[in-house]
Amino acid sequence: MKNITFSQATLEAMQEEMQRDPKVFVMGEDIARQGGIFGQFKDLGSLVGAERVIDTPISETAIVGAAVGAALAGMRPVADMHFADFFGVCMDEVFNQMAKIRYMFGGQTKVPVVVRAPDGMGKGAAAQHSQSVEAWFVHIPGIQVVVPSNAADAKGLLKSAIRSDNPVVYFENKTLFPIKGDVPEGEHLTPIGKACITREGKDVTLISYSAMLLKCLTAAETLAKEGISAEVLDLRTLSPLDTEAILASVRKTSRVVIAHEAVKQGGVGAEVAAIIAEEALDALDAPIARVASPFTPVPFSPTLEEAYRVRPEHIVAAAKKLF
Amino acid sequence: MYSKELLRNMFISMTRIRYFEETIEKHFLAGEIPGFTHLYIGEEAVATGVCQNLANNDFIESTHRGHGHCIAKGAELHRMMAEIFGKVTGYCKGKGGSMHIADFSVGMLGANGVVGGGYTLATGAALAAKLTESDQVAAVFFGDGASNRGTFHEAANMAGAWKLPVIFVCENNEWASTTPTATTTAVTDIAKRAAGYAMPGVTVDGNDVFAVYDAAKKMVTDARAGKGPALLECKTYRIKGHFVGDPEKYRTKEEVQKRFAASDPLKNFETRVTNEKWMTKAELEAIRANSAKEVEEALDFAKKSASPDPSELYTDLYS
Amino acid sequence: MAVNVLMPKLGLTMETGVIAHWKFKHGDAVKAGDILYQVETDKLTNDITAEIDGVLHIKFPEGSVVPVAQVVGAIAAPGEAVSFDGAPAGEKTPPAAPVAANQPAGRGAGGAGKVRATPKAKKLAAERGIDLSGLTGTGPDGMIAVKDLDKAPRIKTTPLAAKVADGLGVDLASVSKDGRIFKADVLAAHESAQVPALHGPAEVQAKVRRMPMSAMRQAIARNMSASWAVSPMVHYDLRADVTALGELKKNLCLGGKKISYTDILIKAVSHALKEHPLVNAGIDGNEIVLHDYVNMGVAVALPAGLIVPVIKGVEGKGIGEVSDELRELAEKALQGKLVTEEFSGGTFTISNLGMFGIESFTPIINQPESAILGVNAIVKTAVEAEGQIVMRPLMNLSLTADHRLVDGAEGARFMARLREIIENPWYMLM
Repeated sequence: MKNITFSQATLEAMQEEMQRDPKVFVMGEDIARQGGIFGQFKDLGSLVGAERVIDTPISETAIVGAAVGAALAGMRPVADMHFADFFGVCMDEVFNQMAKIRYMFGGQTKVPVVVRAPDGMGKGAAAQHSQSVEAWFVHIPGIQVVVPSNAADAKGLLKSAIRSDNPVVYFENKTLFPIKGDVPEGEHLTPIGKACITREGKDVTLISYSAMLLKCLTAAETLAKEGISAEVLDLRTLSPLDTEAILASVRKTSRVVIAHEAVKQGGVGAEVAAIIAEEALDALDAPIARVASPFTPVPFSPTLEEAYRVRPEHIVAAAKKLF
Repeated sequence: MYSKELLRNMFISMTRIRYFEETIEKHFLAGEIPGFTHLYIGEEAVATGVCQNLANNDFIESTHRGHGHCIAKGAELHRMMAEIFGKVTGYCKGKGGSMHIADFSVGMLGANGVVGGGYTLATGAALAAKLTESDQVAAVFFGDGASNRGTFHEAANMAGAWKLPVIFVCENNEWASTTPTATTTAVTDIAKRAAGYAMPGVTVDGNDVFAVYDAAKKMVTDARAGKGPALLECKTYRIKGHFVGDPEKYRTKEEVQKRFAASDPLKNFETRVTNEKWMTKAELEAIRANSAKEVEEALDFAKKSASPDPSELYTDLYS
Repeated sequence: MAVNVLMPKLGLTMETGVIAHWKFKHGDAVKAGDILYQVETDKLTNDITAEIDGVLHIKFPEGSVVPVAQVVGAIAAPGEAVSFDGAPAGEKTPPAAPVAANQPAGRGAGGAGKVRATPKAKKLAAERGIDLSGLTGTGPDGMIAVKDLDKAPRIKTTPLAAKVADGLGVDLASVSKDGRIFKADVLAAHESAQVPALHGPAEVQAKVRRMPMSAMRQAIARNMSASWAVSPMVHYDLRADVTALGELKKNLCLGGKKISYTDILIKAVSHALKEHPLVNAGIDGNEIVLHDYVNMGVAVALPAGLIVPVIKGVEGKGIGEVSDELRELAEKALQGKLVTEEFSGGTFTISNLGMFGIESFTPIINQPESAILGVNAIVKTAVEAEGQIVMRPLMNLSLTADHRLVDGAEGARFMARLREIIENPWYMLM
């Protein structure tokens, strides 16, 4: 084990995979010289070859489109979105091209593209640099969506994403980049499509992913002091969802709180709640609770931003209401 | 001077396209083909002139009006026909249809239902060629209407900036769907847009396969040599409606007939090769007859093929 | 606006009542004044009537033990929705929620009103045959949650078993089984109910039937055990010649009134009691409570138990008056119509088993009284009278007295005096 930041973990994943497979390259805005605006590509070019770490024009459409085209020509590109908010610029390339090509061409080809997308609220980043848009992609057949919450999975999921023959959208919450965690030495892969129980409990399941998972762990500590044993389930992959893991935990605890930073309406929590209601309603000893952001854009002023931000107390309160 | 083989191949390509599209039209109108379909009749010289310069492992990106590109790049008629009929023996097992045919074995990376969807993909394929130091080039076909998409400008800039081997081939057939291009486009010659991206821009008679071939030849050669992208504008005319069944209220039949009589690329080819005595009428007739037969066989194959089993719904989504 | 139907408080000491019988079904139309249901307490059965016209909504089924002042149902306008979610108005929810003691299982969580329960609680309740309508929810937002199910008896049945049990009238609580109850178990229970309960080898044990005690039975059990535990009892038997008593009875009846031996004995005993006040007394802590009056309790057998109506102030009443009052009280007792005052406040009790031919028994004192007299059958017996063997009607009298108050000699003196009065009834005139 080594204790490194989330950011370093992604960098290790990139380096290892690019050294392993010459078909892997990465392109995006401000990644080569700058090393990525969160430092997540720092010195990558000098480690794997400058020609494979490419600074692009500010052309998200061309970035994703070219990544898809390069994949069709046999490469395994990683495209960086700069901010997940900018998916809006290139959604045709994401959902009409990248997601559809394999199916609509009858499985003739694979589309091994990874799109990395730093998402979530920072501080004062406001409406167009703070969003959590994972639910859009969960709604698109043909794409896989991963959402690591810690350094080990940041590395393991990025490596698995690069090796996947399917298009993968990799959401990395900005606030996670500086957070350190233990990462296994050597080859470390986190399987796509597998959730994991981060904390075992028996009274209530807190289902979450990405940065919100840390808030769930904090909430679980608080609940423990009040005699409530909370299980924390890290989904890790949102598409395909690990339905089995969700249902198993809910059947064990009979109560569930789903928490995410994205707005509640139409969020991943709605999908998870629906699955539980469809498959395990009679396991529930309380209504399904969701904790998520208000249905507004992310505001700027610190007072508004704090009013918007989901905190562990919200999760604790939601959980306690189930008893 | 053009080799006899090249001439034969040009005419084979153009007659295959013409008969294929005529057959599609007939059977679409008879209600045998699902969905909707866009015909390439009158524009055969563009795909043919460009693709005769491309090797099997070069790439093309195509459009919603893509049958001609596919045939010109060497795809098999019977698998195309089966796909258009929605049969399991089609290129895409019936999952794509007329607007989504691809044949990755001949570098045909796919038709695209989104107008202007192909530029960035072709640019990416060219980037792959550059990164792997292969001599492959990528050609992307697009219409005059599609040249107004932002994707064109992002892709052209990226290709120009990185000197990627992409040939942007504009089929200027004067109609953006049902709207005259002149009413919605700032420039008369799309080729002028190349200037903004530091690439050569050339306008040729798109109904003259030799003019297209010659211009494309230089562009492909330069691209292979690492000199970067180019924009080839081929002035042509869309003989058929935007789609089969288009009532075409935006133009008269007389206008179309007049233009076709003056510009039919197949007639142009025949006139040129017989005048120059490069080919005999008999040779041309033999090629016509063979192409017609190939299309008939493809139709027969498609009609006799099975539709996909409903269980195929969930296959080919993820690998 | 629906009007709630409550479990009435029918006496100072009443805490719960059993819904013995609903006269109407859930959803039936009722009119003001209609008898809605019979409530059974440890002491009585009462009819509860409708206050208004409307549609009856039943919350608790027959057999339910319900705390007083709890809502057991409601009368609503046709089409009006009735919810029994809330706690009864003006009454704190009792710590132990009422439970359905006698509910045919398998009806799920529906019951009378709409029950708010978690899906898991509903599922488990259906599996266990628990009627959720009798439970108080303590889960999220007041819903019945799994933890609340533990307050209900756990009876697991198959839906078919529940249906069969309903049809045969088998109380699932009486089907003794650890696991899930199947149709075969219900049928077996039904069969065993047709033969007397026995103890013995396994094959006989299999035919043992269990059923819950009625409120009255529980009260009898409680009172008798308490009496047995608290009073050191001494028993006295003495035979009295009732020739004269018989003559008196015959003559009294000539007036057209049916006077019984019991009627006369009540009067006779009250005379004896006036002379032996400790036998007509009680204990309250360290004090002896003596009575200057005689309130005579007379045990009345009921189909499912017994009750002791009390004739107040016997010392001041004539035999005819006593006779009328006893007849009236007995009838009311049989109809379950006694009011509390009519079966409380006794100072002494008579229990007559003579009509069954019983010649001696040891009655148990009806606390807090100090003694009880058992009256036996009149048996013609050969006795010696003036040197001759003659046949005389003799009645054995069985007294049980509390030795804390009544010593042996005192008990014996009371009995001797009682025989004297019985054999010479004119003493009653003195």
